[in-house]
Amino acid sequence: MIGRGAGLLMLVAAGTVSAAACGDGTEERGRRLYAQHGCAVCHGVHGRGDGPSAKRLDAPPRDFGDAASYKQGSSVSDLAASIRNGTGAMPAFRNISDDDANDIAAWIVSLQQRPEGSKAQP
Amino acid sequence: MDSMTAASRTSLLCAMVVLVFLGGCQQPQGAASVREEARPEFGDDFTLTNQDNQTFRLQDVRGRPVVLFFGYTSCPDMCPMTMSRISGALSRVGSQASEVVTLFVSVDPKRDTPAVLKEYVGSFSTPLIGLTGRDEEVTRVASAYHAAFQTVQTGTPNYLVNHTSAIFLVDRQGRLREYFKYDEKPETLAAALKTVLDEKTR
Repeated sequence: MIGRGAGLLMLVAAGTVSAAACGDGTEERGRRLYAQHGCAVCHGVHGRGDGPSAKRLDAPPRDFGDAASYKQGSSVSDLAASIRNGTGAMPAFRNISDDDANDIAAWIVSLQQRPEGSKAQP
Repeated sequence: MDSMTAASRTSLLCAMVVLVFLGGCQQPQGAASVREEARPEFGDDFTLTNQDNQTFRLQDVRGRPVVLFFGYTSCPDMCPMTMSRISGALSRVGSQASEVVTLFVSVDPKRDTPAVLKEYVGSFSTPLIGLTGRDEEVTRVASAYHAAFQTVQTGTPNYLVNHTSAIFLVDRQGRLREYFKYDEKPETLAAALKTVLDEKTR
């Protein structure tokens, strides 16, 4: 019994560590890719739709903190599809792989969950 | 009929050439690999102003490969897509990427002041140099690369600029070696960069 209990505990602990590492890794990788691909030009470093080019665009870039305004859905898969296929005035970034788009989307979803007024790490 | 067909073909070809080299957003057809010989009909040394309001001379980066793109910071589509591809290519090159000089030459100098360019290039984690200048300076540089640009009024304050969107690759000796379509695969761009990076400076 002790052995089974310890084994179960180890599995749970391992699963917890794995999930945490995976989640952080995906978002962190997504944050780096967001910066690499210049998403901040339109969407801003903190994803508030206030990048340096935003004020000169007729169609305002999405504020990632406002998930309710997403027309194509705000889940990771929805956002990854929008990145790859484009949506509204945003062009399609087909050069970004599915994996990379998913990681960028995970980063964006993490921005949706931040309290109003808080700033993401640039 | 045959001669008419030939004439039509010639006209079509001429039209295509004009579109490729002079047309707004038409794309030159980029090769998948780098030519061994330079393309002397393209490119030249130039002097412009960078995002720090300092003089930039192309000849000052001789010895390093240069990726050059003509665009503007208010561009809603072509420029973000192209810069994303260039960044993706550089990320595939590895540590040698730090040797590459990536230039974003504005074809909208009226709005793209050094301060505006500084914000723009600062939005990328990939090191970029933003360049601008007086209208005639930018026009002269663009002409040397057979690049065209034209302002398009949209009825809003946010006018657009049609522009040649080829990606130019200059080798360590300052010779234009290849140009690519704006939507070239990053893998292809990376392979071309690797070829030029692996060449020794004579």
